[in-house]
Amino acid sequence: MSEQGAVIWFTGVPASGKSTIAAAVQKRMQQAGLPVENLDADEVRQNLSPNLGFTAEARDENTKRLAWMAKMLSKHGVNVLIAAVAPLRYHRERAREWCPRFVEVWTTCSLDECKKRDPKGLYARADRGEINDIAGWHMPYEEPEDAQVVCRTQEMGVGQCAEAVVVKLSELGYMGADVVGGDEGYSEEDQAKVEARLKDLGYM
Amino acid sequence: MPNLNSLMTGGCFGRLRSSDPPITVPAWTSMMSSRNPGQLGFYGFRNRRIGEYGGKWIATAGAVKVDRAWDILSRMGKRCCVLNVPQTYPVKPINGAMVSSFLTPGNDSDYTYPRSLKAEIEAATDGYMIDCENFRTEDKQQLLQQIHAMTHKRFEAATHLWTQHGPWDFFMVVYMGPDRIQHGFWKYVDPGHRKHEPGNPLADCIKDYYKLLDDQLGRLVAMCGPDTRVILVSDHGAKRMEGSLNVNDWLIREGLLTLKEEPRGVARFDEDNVDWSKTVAWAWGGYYARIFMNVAGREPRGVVAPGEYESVRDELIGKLQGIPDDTGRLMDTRALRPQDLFRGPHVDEAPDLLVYFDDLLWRAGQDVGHEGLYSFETEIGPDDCVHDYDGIFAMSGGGCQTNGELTGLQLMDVAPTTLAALGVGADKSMEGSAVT
Repeated sequence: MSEQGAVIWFTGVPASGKSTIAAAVQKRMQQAGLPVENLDADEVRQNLSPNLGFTAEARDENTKRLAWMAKMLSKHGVNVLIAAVAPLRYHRERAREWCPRFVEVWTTCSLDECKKRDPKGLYARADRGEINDIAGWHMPYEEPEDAQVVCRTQEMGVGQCAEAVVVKLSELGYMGADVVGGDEGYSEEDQAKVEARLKDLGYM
Repeated sequence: MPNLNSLMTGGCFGRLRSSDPPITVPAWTSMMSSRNPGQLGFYGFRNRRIGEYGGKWIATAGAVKVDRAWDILSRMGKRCCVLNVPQTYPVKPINGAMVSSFLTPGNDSDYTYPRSLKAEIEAATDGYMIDCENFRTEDKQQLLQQIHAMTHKRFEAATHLWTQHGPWDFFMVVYMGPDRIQHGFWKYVDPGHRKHEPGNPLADCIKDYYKLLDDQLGRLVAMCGPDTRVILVSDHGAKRMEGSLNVNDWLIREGLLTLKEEPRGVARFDEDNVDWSKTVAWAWGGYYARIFMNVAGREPRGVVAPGEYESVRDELIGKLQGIPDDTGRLMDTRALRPQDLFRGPHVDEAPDLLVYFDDLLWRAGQDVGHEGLYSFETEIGPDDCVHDYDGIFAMSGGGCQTNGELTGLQLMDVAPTTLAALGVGADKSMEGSAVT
């Protein structure tokens, strides 16, 4: 049987950076040739749970389904990334209980910063009175007491956060040290810029 | 340079032997981690992926898997500020502040920790300069202006960080200007340079620049206060460049490297154009040459049998060290085995040979298709100087107990010295010794 995959749950209020950092970690794992599935909470909801709303019970059901999928995938050696608010500690602790190699990553920034980012327009809709169920604002969000990685996304860039996650995974023995570092932090365009500068300076 | 003189006479000083190779990466990380490149796993900015002919990776901060001095100090609760130290991009969290250096893609990158510091630095410097742009320009006045502007902005950033966020337990700033001005202007100042023109208007530009640096040194030292231990270092030295030796062309002439198609004129060395079945070795250029051998079982289409590796390498060493310069004089070339230079788990990832042509006086050019072995305009444009083995070290103040000129100092002594100044013992795996 293949080694158990890690389950990395990115929790935090909407627009705190969960999906962005999860995508960066996914890229790092893919570059290292590791099997990885990024369970996007919105996509899963749309495809598996279209009738689920955002009541407390509905959120509980949605996070339970995400945790169960992660459990099934990780059993077969797939590393699973989940970017989902999971507003109650209980949601995350249930996932931890089901998934032996569970890592909780808390993405956090100020409410003002979340409103400024607002990639899905939720905060704008709330300002217009269209919704009033945003976790951490209208509804409770229980901050992790002991997250294994904390990404303060107003202070740390995406690359730094992704690096913090892979470093933790390596420290826990969930993946090799070769996932850590290397070309991390460069898009293709950035790498080209840096190589051009190094060539100009005579180093290459 | 009265402020440098004051450091030297008030404390201790000496030449500081750089890393092998004596280039920015790995030098600064070797210095601040007190580890040799065999422990670090990189031998330059770019590094080869063993087993892939064209595979290369750039040694960013992500490649640094060991503690540098500020990592240790941060964990101990000491406040650290690190400004423009090479190989700090992408930035990592620190107990304090970090502004990364010229491996940062651009000003739109997240080049500070904390992230919010970037806006302050941009404002305090009226547009931060990560490095000079268009370094290879023939417009030397423009380049000189850029170097000066960059230096002033670095000083402004340092001042801002100290006055607005200090005091700090550990504060480090690196000026790249000396490196840039020497590479760009050496021929104007050194009568020994083959392109020197006596009486040229830029003859004092490097001297004048060092006076500027000395002035800024004095102001930074004053800003930090009288009880500060001040350590001045450089990661390598500099000297005139004689020219560029076209090392892949030399390998081709020696029958050690075969291309599928002969280049028409000078062309970039392209691993896809190599006939690997007829290739024993190929090279990367730069301020030193890296020779890679096409070893069977290690490389995809290797031809050098493992049992013959050492004899083939010895033969390469003999040939490389027998290359004459453009006048026919035998060069004082050193072709070095990594096993003789490095210790640690990454020695096998080093190039098969590190070559310092004529004691580093000649660069190595890796492009192919030159008419001759010697080029005097590098493939990348004007470059007047190469690196040398010895940088400088000077230290005084803050309880410094050592006085006078020191000998035998090496780059890896700096991190233990820094930690000792703050009352912290060196990590057992550090390879240098503290100067107290």
